[in-house]
Order: sequence, then C-alpha cells, then structure tokens
Amino acid sequence: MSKIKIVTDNTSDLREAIISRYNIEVVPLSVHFGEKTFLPGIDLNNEEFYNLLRESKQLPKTSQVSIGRFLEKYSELAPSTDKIISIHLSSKFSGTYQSAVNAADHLKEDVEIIPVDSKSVSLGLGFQILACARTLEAGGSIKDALEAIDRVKKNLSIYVYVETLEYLKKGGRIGKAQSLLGTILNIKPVLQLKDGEMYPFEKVRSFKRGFLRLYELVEEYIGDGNSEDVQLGIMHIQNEKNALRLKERILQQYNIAEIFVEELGPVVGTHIGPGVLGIILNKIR
Amino acid sequence: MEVKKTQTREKVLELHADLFKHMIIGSLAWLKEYKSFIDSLNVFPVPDGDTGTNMYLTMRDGVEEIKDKKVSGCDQLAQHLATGVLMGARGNSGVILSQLFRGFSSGIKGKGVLNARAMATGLKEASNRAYKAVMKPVEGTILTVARKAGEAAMKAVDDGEEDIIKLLEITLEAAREALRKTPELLPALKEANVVDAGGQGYITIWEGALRVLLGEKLEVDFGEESKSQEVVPSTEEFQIEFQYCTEFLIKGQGLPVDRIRNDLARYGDSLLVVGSPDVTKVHIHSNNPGLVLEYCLKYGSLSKIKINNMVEQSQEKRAREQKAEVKAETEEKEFGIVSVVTGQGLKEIFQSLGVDRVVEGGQSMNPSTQDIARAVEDINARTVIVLPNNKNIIFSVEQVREIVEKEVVVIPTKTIPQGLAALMAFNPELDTEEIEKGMVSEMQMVKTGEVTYAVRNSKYNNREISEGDILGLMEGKIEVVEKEVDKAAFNLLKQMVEEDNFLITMFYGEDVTEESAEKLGEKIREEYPDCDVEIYSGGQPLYYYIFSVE
Repeated sequence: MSKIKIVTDNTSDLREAIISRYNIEVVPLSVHFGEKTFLPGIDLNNEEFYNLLRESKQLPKTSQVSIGRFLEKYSELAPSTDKIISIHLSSKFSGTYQSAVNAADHLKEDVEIIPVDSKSVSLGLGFQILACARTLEAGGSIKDALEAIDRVKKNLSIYVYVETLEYLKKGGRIGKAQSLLGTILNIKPVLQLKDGEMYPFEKVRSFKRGFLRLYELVEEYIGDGNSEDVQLGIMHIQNEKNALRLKERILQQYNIAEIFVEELGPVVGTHIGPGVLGIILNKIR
Repeated sequence: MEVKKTQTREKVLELHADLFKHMIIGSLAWLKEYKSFIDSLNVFPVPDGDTGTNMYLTMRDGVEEIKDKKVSGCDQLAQHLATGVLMGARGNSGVILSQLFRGFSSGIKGKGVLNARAMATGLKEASNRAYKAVMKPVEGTILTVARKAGEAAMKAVDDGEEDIIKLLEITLEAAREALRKTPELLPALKEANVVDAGGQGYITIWEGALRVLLGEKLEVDFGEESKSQEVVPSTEEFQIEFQYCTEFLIKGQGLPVDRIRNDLARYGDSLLVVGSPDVTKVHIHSNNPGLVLEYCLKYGSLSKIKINNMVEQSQEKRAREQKAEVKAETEEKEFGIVSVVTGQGLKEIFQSLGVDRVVEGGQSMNPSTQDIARAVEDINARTVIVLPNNKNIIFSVEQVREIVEKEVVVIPTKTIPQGLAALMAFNPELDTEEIEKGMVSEMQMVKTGEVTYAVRNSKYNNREISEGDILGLMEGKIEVVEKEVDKAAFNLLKQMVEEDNFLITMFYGEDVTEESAEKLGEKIREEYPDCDVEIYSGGQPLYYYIFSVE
C-alpha cells in the first residue's frame, strides 16, 4: 500500500488533536504586525493574535506560503512518502496554492505531489481534509481520497455574518461582495463563500437578524433530508457566546452528525475582522 | 348641487362625438371646481393621497389625451379617454376611476353615436368592470354609487326612457341617493359625519356632463397648467460660489458677536453668527476657511470644527446618481428594481441599496401609472421588481403590469420601512419566486410609525382631531394625537416598541432640522437603552418622522 501524506496550511481551523491524529503536515501562512512576523499555529495562538489586533494601531497583513517553504516540506517528506496530497485555501484568497503547484512541479521527478485548490477556507478546507484523511485511513486509494474531497466541495455551503466589510475591503478579499459597499443605511452583510470567493448574499440590519438568518440557513440546508447526515462548523471571531448559542438552538431541533465550534484563525481573521459569526455546512453521507 | 330644469327643452336622443367630447371636458372642469370639496370629505385627515385631487389629476391626463384628437365616433373617443386615464391613474380612487372609464368604453363598443340605451349600458359596464378590478370590493364607496347609478340607468331605458338628459337626471338621482346612504354602510363615514369622497367624485363628474348637455359652458384652460409633473431633476446645476461649508464654535470671554458677524461677512456668504459672549457658533460658506478660522482665533479657542468641500460633495452625489443610471444602461441583467420614494435623503438611501430607478410622487404624493411604467421600461432588465411603499399606490402599480412588456413583480410594501426591509432581502442570485417570497416575508418583519399633521378637522376612531394637530400613525392607523411633534413621536414609539425590539430607525423629514432629530434621538435612546437608535435624513415632505422598529 502506498504511503500517502496530507499537507495543508494553517487556515483550516482544524484542531491540533485532529491534525496529529491523521498525521497531517501543516505549512504556515504568516501574519505581520508592522515589522514583526508571526506564524499562527506555531508561535501565535488565537488569543494572542486577537489581543494584538485590538491593541495594534496598524492593521496586520498576511503572507502566503512561499515556494521555498513548500520545497522544504515536500523534500522533507519525500524519502518516506509515495504521494503527497497538498490541499490549500482558495487560490482567490491566497497565492499559497499556486506556490504549491510550482513547488510540486519542481519536485515532480522525486515524488508525486497532487496540489488541490479547496476553493474554500477554514472548516470548508478542514472538512475536505477530514474527508480525505478518513478515506485514506479506511484504506481508500488516492483516487478515492480525491473523489471524497470533490464530494465535499460540491456539498459545501458557507454563510458568514460580518460586522463590517472594512477588513475584507482593505485586505482585497471582498470579491463580489463589493456591491454591498456604500450603503447609507447601516447594513450588516451576510456573505456566501462560493466558488472560492465571497459573494453578497443578504443584508441585515442587526446582529440579531443575522443570527436568526444563519439559523434559518441551517434549516434550509437540512430541508427534508436527514440532519444526521450533516456536518456543521460554527465559526466566530471573539464571539464564542453567540456561537455556542447558535449550536444549542440547532441541537434543540436537530441531531447533527458532527458539530464544530471554532474561532477563525489569525490569517482569515485579519481579513474579515472581529464580530463574525458563520456556518459551514457539509453532507457526509 | 341641484340641476336647474328649464321649462321647455328638446329631448336629446342622440349623442355625437363632438358633443360627447364637450361633456367630458365639462366633467373635468366641474371636477376641478369641486376637487377641494371632495378632498375635504376624506375621513383620513392625513396630508397625502386626497381623493378629489387624485381623481382630478387622473381624469385630466385622460382628457389631455383626447382634447386634440380627431375621432369619428363616441366609442373611439371613450377608448382613447380610457387609455389616457389608465396612464394617469393615481391613488386608489384614480385607479378605480380608470376602471370605470374602461368599463364604460367597452359598454359602448361599436357605437359611434350614443342613444339612451347605449349610455345606460356604458354606465352598467363601468360598474361591473370596477368591481372586477378590486380584490375586496367595499360597499359604501364609489363602487356602490356607480353600481346603483348603472342599475337605475338600465331600469330607466328598460322602462322606455329615450331622452339622454332625463336618463342622466334619473341616474344622478339614484347616485345621490346611494351616496347619502354610504355612512350607513361604512361606520368610519358615519363617525366623521361625511359621505364617501369617491362617490361624490363620481357624481360630480356626471353632473358636469349633464350641465354641458343642458347648455352650460364648462371649459378647462389647459395652457395654465403644465402637463404631467415632470420629476424635478435631482442634480442641481447651480454654481457653488463659496466652496467650503465651515462651521465651528468659538469659546472665550466677552465675545463681540456683532463685530465678528460684521467682519466675517467679507469672507463668504450664508453667514450665521449666533451665541453668547462665552460660546458663539459660526457658520459660513467661504473659499478661505483658513482665514475665517485665523480671524476667530483672535477671540478665543475653536471647537467642533467642520469643513466640508461642497463641490466635492455635489460631485460625489452626482457620481452616485450617475452610477445608479449607468447601472441600467449596461448589459441586460436579470432583475431591476423600481421604488416609489419621495425625499432626497430617502431617495439616496434606496439608491445606495440597489434601486435602479426611483419614482417620486408629484402633487398629491402619488405618481401616476405612467410615471411608474416609464421607470420600469427604462431599466435594462428582464424582470423588474416594484416597491410602491404606500398603500395608496399599490393599485396604480398593479396596473403597470398591463402596460409594459417586461415581467413585473410587485412587492406590496405599504410604507418606506417595509420597502427598505424588502430591499434587504433582495438577492439576485435566486429565482423570481424565491425573491418574491423572501422580500414579502422580510417586509412583514418591520413595524412602521409615521408622524405628520392633520390637514383638516376630523373625527376618527372616537377622537376629535383639529387641523394642525400632530398625528402619530402606526401601520397607517392614527394612534396618537398631540400638539407637538416630539411628544407625538415619543408617544407613538411607546405604543410601537416592545420588549424584544432592538433597533429603532428614524428618518427625519424636510421640516425637521438635524438638531431636533438628534435631540429626539437622544431622548429615545434614554428611554429604550436596549435598543440601537439610528438617525438618518430622509428629507421627505409632509411626514416629520418615519420610524422603523424591529
């Protein structure tokens, strides 16, 4: 049986426990506050990051994983691996996937590397990794693993309530949600992550409505189907109380297969800003 | 309004197109005379959507359509009239009137010359058509009056009446009888001690026609009035002479307010220097804001300094407006949105939320069917969603469906807050049915309050209302009557805001200053600490405040 390794980056928001359970390798994107550089997941955790964000006068910036980093990691793995699946956040959000592609090409004589553009981020990426890892652990081939990843991509539904579009705008990741800018009325956007980028989905006038809307969207996703087939990620930034409230509300009605409640990591957090509440939905059966 | 009977008079057995046209013009002239009276019958003393004005404006558009037309027969004339009236229909009463004309026109189809029977058939058909057009016909309104009139006319010709003058007299008698009885059918009329305004309008129209037949000369001078109210272009092309709007406070001791005022006059215009020897507010439009500030520094310290570049502001506004227009000129898109909004601030808010074309109300705050149709046609989209934002306009908007080729979806918003709520739910990625469902469901989630003034004395829901009283309306119903605007607003909110509400949005109208709005806003914030209170300039006429509570 061939040895297959999974490589990803630090934007998946999968917990350390899962990462180590499946022996997943992580290459980090970095976050810069002025002159200082941090590697979230290595020398910066969420709490530290969000404190810094609060205190810092400047907005932090993020950097993609460089080709060099990938070459390093792939070379490190090459001797003990037959194939590498390198799955990363949307190429529309970061040049990381492109770096992986370039590095893979460079090393193609030494080891087979299959870069995958998740067209997503956070647990949207995380769920694809999980599906891949579980398939491989169960004895699936690389083809099976890649198909599992594709299935998740097709079933993924991601909606995010944001307090402001400022961070997305300044970071350049606002995508089609640009059309929501410039409203005179105080609008809180509910965005949809589709095809690797942000789309405007709805506008609400307050967090309360946004919360209700997210709940309704979970209901709509489940529809007449079996809620036990659903995998759900509730994401927040500095808003754990409401994330847990949403989880409770959903559990009152439904029996969801797997629920994750996570705070978005620094890389995504930089671009989206505090006060976020989002849902990431997938069907696992 | 008794009609004089002359002693010897010839019977009128036939009506040719020329005379018929004069009758129609006479009706309009008579309606013009009495429109204010008809307005005064409106039970609802709120300053918009008056029946008399609406019916007059509606009919006027119809008469404009026929006044210069060469037609060969009465039926042709009636048809052109009906078309014109359809286009000009404003407000509920205007729309019903347009249906009456349409019915009349189809009732006399094929008849170039009218006899008594044809007339009676026209009257009967008019009433049938009007009933069909209304979803929930209410008795005690113009519908009842028109129906009784039609029935009486048919009975008269069945009994052998051939004289058209006599026919009309009988018809009018029946109509007046029906009108007298309307308070029995509608309790609100009884309480206010009036008859139904629309019914009165119907009678007035036929009275005018009869007078012409009896030889009276009734004409309308079309020259003195401009045709349809062209919406005033919002981009003001005036030259801004002094560019910087500069405002600040001078804090000091013994400030020579008058001297400062005199000295600053040379730096610009729109000068306002008000205050006390300790704190003086300065407001000026100037090209040298620096010099103004320097000068005032001599007397004390400056605070709350605001300098706005008005040329830039006006450019930005024009750019925003152009953007809204350009949006429509680019490639055809799936959905477009038209919204009826009056008030500069409100208009900008709606446009910034994605409305392609805003239609403003005219004289009676009600745009005509044609105004709306034009906006719909202007947009390069396959489906156009229309938000009326006024229960008096919903009807006119529904008519637009029949005039334009595109698919038109009407979201029945009755107020501005409902319109805004519906807009929030608009998502062009969905299909038409889902969009409609989403917008209708969202519009029901918001509560609307309005503060305005009474245009006449009235009795409504057991309350005495005097002209000039300040009224607080909740979902269109008068709930509060006060003498002061702020008090009315406050008490209205008391009735509207419930424990689970979290957001109060205030739109202040053109008769309210930003300052008073902010002051009221502060009081509301104190009263409802669990609510967010947002204040926006709506610029709407007639309504001091529009509140949205959610």
